Amino acid sequence: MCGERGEIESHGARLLFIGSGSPRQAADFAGEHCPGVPVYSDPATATYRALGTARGVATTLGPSSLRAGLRAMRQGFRQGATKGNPWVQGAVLVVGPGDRVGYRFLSSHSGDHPPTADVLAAVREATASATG
Amino acid sequence: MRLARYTPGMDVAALAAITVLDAEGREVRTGDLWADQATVAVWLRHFG
Repeated sequence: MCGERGEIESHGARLLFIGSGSPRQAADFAGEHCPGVPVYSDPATATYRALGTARGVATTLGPSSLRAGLRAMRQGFRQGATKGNPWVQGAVLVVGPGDRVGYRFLSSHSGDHPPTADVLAAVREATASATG
Repeated sequence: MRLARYTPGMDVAALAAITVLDAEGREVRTGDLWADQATVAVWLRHFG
Protein backbone atom coordinates (compact mmCIF):
# COMPACT_ATOMS: atom_id res chain seq x y z
CA MET A 1 0.00 0.00 0.00
CA CYS A 2 3.02 2.29 0.43
CA GLY A 3 3.22 2.47 -3.36
CA GLU A 4 -0.19 4.15 -3.40
CA ARG A 5 0.77 6.76 -0.83
CA GLY A 6 1.10 9.53 -3.43
CA GLU A 7 -2.32 8.92 -4.89
CA ILE A 8 -3.92 8.59 -1.45
CA GLU A 9 -2.41 11.90 -0.37
CA SER A 10 -3.31 13.59 -3.66
CA HIS A 11 -6.95 13.08 -2.67
CA GLY A 12 -6.39 14.69 0.70
CA ALA A 13 -6.32 11.42 2.63
CA ARG A 14 -3.51 9.93 4.66
CA LEU A 15 -1.94 6.51 4.99
CA LEU A 16 -0.90 4.87 8.23
CA PHE A 17 0.05 1.42 9.45
CA ILE A 18 -0.70 -0.47 12.64
CA GLY A 19 1.15 -3.65 13.59
CA SER A 20 1.23 -6.06 16.49
CA GLY A 21 4.91 -5.67 17.40
CA SER A 22 6.69 -3.16 19.63
CA PRO A 23 7.07 0.60 19.02
CA ARG A 24 10.73 -0.01 18.16
CA GLN A 25 9.73 -2.57 15.54
CA ALA A 26 7.16 -0.11 14.21
CA ALA A 27 9.82 2.57 13.83
CA ASP A 28 12.14 0.11 12.09
CA PHE A 29 9.33 -0.94 9.74
CA ALA A 30 8.62 2.67 8.81
CA GLY A 31 12.25 3.39 8.10
CA GLU A 32 12.75 0.29 6.00
CA HIS A 33 9.46 0.06 4.11
CA CYS A 34 7.60 3.35 4.05
CA PRO A 35 9.59 6.34 5.33
CA GLY A 36 7.50 9.28 6.46
CA VAL A 37 4.33 7.28 7.01
CA PRO A 38 3.21 6.93 10.65
CA VAL A 39 3.35 3.41 12.06
CA TYR A 40 1.66 2.47 15.32
CA SER A 41 1.88 -0.67 17.38
CA ASP A 42 -0.81 -2.67 19.10
CA PRO A 43 1.03 -5.44 20.97
CA ALA A 44 -2.20 -6.63 22.63
CA THR A 45 -3.91 -6.89 19.18
CA ALA A 46 -7.02 -5.23 20.66
CA THR A 47 -7.69 -3.29 17.46
CA TYR A 48 -7.40 -6.49 15.45
CA ARG A 49 -10.09 -8.08 17.61
CA ALA A 50 -12.33 -5.03 17.27
CA LEU A 51 -11.98 -5.22 13.51
CA GLY A 52 -12.74 -8.93 13.47
CA THR A 53 -9.56 -9.99 11.71
CA ALA A 54 -8.89 -13.65 11.09
CA ARG A 55 -6.44 -15.34 13.42
CA GLY A 56 -5.03 -18.77 14.07
CA VAL A 57 -2.29 -21.04 12.82
CA ALA A 58 -4.28 -22.24 9.79
CA THR A 59 -4.69 -18.67 8.51
CA THR A 60 -0.92 -18.25 8.49
CA LEU A 61 0.28 -21.69 7.42
CA GLY A 62 -2.64 -23.02 5.35
CA PRO A 63 -2.51 -23.84 1.61
CA SER A 64 -3.78 -20.41 0.56
CA SER A 65 -1.03 -18.74 2.56
CA LEU A 66 1.63 -20.99 1.06
CA ARG A 67 0.38 -20.30 -2.47
CA ALA A 68 0.41 -16.56 -1.77
CA GLY A 69 3.93 -16.86 -0.35
CA LEU A 70 5.20 -18.64 -3.45
CA ARG A 71 3.52 -16.05 -5.66
CA ALA A 72 5.19 -13.24 -3.71
CA MET A 73 8.58 -14.93 -3.93
CA ARG A 74 8.24 -15.26 -7.69
CA GLN A 75 7.58 -11.51 -7.78
CA GLY A 76 10.79 -10.88 -5.89
CA PHE A 77 9.45 -10.27 -2.40
CA ARG A 78 11.32 -11.78 0.52
CA GLN A 79 9.80 -11.86 4.00
CA GLY A 80 12.09 -10.97 6.87
CA ALA A 81 11.86 -12.26 10.42
CA THR A 82 8.36 -12.10 11.85
CA LYS A 83 8.05 -9.19 14.29
CA GLY A 84 4.77 -9.28 16.18
CA ASN A 85 2.04 -11.83 16.63
CA PRO A 86 2.46 -14.29 13.72
CA TRP A 87 -1.06 -15.68 13.99
CA VAL A 88 -3.12 -12.55 13.35
CA GLN A 89 -4.07 -11.47 9.85
CA GLY A 90 -4.16 -7.96 8.49
CA ALA A 91 -6.89 -5.60 7.41
CA VAL A 92 -7.45 -2.35 5.56
CA LEU A 93 -9.92 0.28 6.61
CA VAL A 94 -10.79 3.48 4.78
CA VAL A 95 -12.14 5.55 7.62
CA GLY A 96 -12.75 9.16 8.60
CA PRO A 97 -13.18 11.94 9.05
CA GLY A 98 -14.82 10.89 12.27
CA ASP A 99 -16.24 7.40 12.53
CA ARG A 100 -17.34 7.17 8.92
CA VAL A 101 -16.13 3.87 7.41
CA GLY A 102 -16.09 3.59 3.64
CA TYR A 103 -14.28 0.33 3.14
CA ARG A 104 -13.15 -2.65 5.15
CA PHE A 105 -11.08 -5.57 4.01
CA LEU A 106 -10.14 -8.43 6.30
CA SER A 107 -7.39 -10.74 5.07
CA SER A 108 -8.48 -14.34 5.29
CA HIS A 109 -4.92 -15.67 5.14
CA SER A 110 -1.33 -14.50 4.74
CA GLY A 111 -0.80 -12.76 1.42
CA ASP A 112 -4.50 -11.95 1.00
CA HIS A 113 -4.56 -8.27 0.05
CA PRO A 114 -7.40 -5.97 -1.03
CA PRO A 115 -7.66 -4.89 -4.65
CA THR A 116 -5.82 -1.58 -4.80
CA ALA A 117 -8.47 -0.13 -7.10
CA ASP A 118 -11.16 -0.77 -4.49
CA VAL A 119 -9.17 1.00 -1.78
CA LEU A 120 -8.47 4.00 -3.98
CA ALA A 121 -12.10 4.19 -5.05
CA ALA A 122 -13.11 4.29 -1.40
CA VAL A 123 -10.56 7.04 -0.75
CA ARG A 124 -11.98 9.13 -3.58
CA GLU A 125 -15.48 8.57 -2.24
CA ALA A 126 -14.48 9.45 1.33
CA THR A 127 -12.64 12.62 0.42
CA ALA A 128 -15.37 13.74 -2.00
CA SER A 129 -18.07 13.32 0.63
CA ALA A 130 -15.89 15.00 3.27
CA THR A 131 -15.40 18.10 1.13
CA GLY A 132 -18.77 18.06 -0.62
CA MET B 1 -13.48 -12.55 4.59
CA ARG B 2 -13.83 -9.81 2.03
CA LEU B 3 -16.20 -6.86 2.27
CA ALA B 4 -16.21 -4.43 -0.63
CA ARG B 5 -17.99 -1.87 1.46
CA TYR B 6 -18.55 -1.28 5.10
CA THR B 7 -20.97 -3.73 6.57
CA PRO B 8 -22.90 -2.64 9.62
CA GLY B 9 -21.95 -4.75 12.55
CA MET B 10 -18.45 -3.57 13.20
CA ASP B 11 -18.44 -1.31 16.23
CA VAL B 12 -16.45 1.65 14.91
CA ALA B 13 -16.80 3.57 18.17
CA ALA B 14 -15.32 0.64 20.10
CA LEU B 15 -12.40 0.46 17.69
CA ALA B 16 -11.88 4.22 17.92
CA ALA B 17 -11.69 4.06 21.72
CA ILE B 18 -8.77 1.61 21.76
CA THR B 19 -5.30 3.05 22.28
CA VAL B 20 -2.24 2.10 20.27
CA LEU B 21 1.39 3.18 20.70
CA ASP B 22 3.23 5.59 18.47
CA ALA B 23 6.87 5.11 17.50
CA GLU B 24 7.97 6.75 20.76
CA GLY B 25 5.76 4.50 22.85
CA ARG B 26 3.12 7.13 23.63
CA GLU B 27 -0.50 6.04 23.83
CA VAL B 28 -2.72 7.36 21.07
CA ARG B 29 -6.48 6.88 20.83
CA THR B 30 -7.13 5.12 17.54
CA GLY B 31 -10.06 7.33 16.68
CA ASP B 32 -7.80 10.38 16.91
CA LEU B 33 -5.79 9.00 14.00
CA TRP B 34 -8.67 9.57 11.59
CA ALA B 35 -10.78 12.16 13.44
CA ASP B 36 -10.22 14.99 10.98
CA GLN B 37 -9.09 13.32 7.76
CA ALA B 38 -10.01 10.41 5.52
CA THR B 39 -7.45 7.72 6.28
CA VAL B 40 -6.30 4.45 4.81
CA ALA B 41 -5.40 2.44 7.90
CA VAL B 42 -3.51 -0.75 7.17
CA TRP B 43 -3.26 -3.42 9.85
CA LEU B 44 -0.12 -5.38 9.17
CA ARG B 45 0.21 -9.08 9.72
CA HIS B 46 3.63 -8.39 11.17
CA PHE B 47 6.48 -5.87 11.04
CA GLY B 48 8.63 -8.15 8.88
